[in-house]
Amino acid sequence: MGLIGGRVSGAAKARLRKFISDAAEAPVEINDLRRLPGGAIQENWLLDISVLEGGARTGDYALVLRLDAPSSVAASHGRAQEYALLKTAHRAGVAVPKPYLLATDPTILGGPFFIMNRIDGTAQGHKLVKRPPDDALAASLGRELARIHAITPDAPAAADLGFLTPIDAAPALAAVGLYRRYLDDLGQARPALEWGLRWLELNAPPVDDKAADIVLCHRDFRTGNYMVSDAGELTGILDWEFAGWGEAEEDIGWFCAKCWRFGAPEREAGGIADRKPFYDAYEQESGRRIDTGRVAYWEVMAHVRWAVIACQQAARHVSAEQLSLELALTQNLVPELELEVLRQAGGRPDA
Amino acid sequence: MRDRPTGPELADLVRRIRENDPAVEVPDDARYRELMLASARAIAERQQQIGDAPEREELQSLSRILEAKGGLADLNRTLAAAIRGGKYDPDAPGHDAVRDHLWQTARDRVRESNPKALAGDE
Repeated sequence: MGLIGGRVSGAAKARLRKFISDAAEAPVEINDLRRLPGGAIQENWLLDISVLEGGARTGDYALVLRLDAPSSVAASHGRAQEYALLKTAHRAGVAVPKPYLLATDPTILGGPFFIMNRIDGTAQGHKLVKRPPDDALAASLGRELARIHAITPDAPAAADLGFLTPIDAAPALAAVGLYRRYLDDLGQARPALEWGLRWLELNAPPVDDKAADIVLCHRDFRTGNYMVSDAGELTGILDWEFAGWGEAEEDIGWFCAKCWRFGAPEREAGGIADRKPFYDAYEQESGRRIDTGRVAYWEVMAHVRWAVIACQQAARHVSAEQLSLELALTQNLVPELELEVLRQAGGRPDA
Repeated sequence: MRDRPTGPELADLVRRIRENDPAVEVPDDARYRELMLASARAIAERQQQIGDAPEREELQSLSRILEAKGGLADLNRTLAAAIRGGKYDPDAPGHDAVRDHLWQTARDRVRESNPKALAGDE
């Protein structure tokens, strides 16, 4: 077909060039096109082009092309939806790669894809946590998250997000129901996760005073999903495929959860700094107070959620849908996550 | 209950990768790939060393709690459904026994998947 499997045919490249050229209304040359490492759910391709004689658009562009991997997890949006989310975030002033083009025509590369600006830096969590503690980076992340959360369902900025499921119950209870369904779909009995989900059901924060506080949640806002330049600057928030309506503390809890500190557990803001600079910048930018009790609750949910997703990923390997060393090893993260769920949800005998 | 891929399945996967089986995806980065292969081998070895005792104990403990006989998969399904239904909520009879069972089982699994993560609970 197209780019699937790391190879690109001459015909696919020609179709891609024509697609970009038609959109740019100018001749285009593809200077480089190759698969970037990583991306279990999407494939990311480096794409360098030159737009020739295109008036204002003439010039060289360093881009990323993102398309669906052979299989994906249940909760993730398709490329068209992710493109709409990226555009919405870009318009709202969030630091994201500038989105350029969406292609829904599957005959070009075998599936929908979009093209965005390529931003500099590294996103790799295990590298970022080896740097000295970085309060400035944590503050930048707090501000960016506040900008994302400024997008609310009835805001004009959200006009293109009609595809997101409306929230009509407590976000926490909706999440409990969702992860139970995922476990049922997997056909695995996981008593430790059920213990955590029951605790989350019994301890769900009240919803009555929060009805006005439904915001756009990124739902994968964590170390590993943002880019930092060599100079230490935050250059962009990545991976919008799980975004949806929810309560702000869900994202804050996900970012701070112990399972996303990449082996630097003492730095509670994503393994890069203390919570304080992250919280302070968030509160200043958003003008709202973080409810730390809710954050603690969503951190329990974070461990349950990551465990369920890890089981889904490993199931793709076990079912032979996608044989992969990385997916196979993902299952071995689950016991630690389950132990952490028990620790935080009244499951530790001597606590 | 041990998850799949099990230790022997991981050992087999390592062998297939060593034999360059094109059906198995591996990370491009050589150092990362070797780390993952070493990790897969280590898990398989630990499971082999530890043997069947933890699963036998898990089965006995489940039978005691549920007062039922059956295989690990069936009894875990029964326990999972009972927890979801609220049968072992705080203050309910059996709550502490289930809590202790889950804690012990989770620790047994972590001892195989990543024993370093048990530090701090000892």
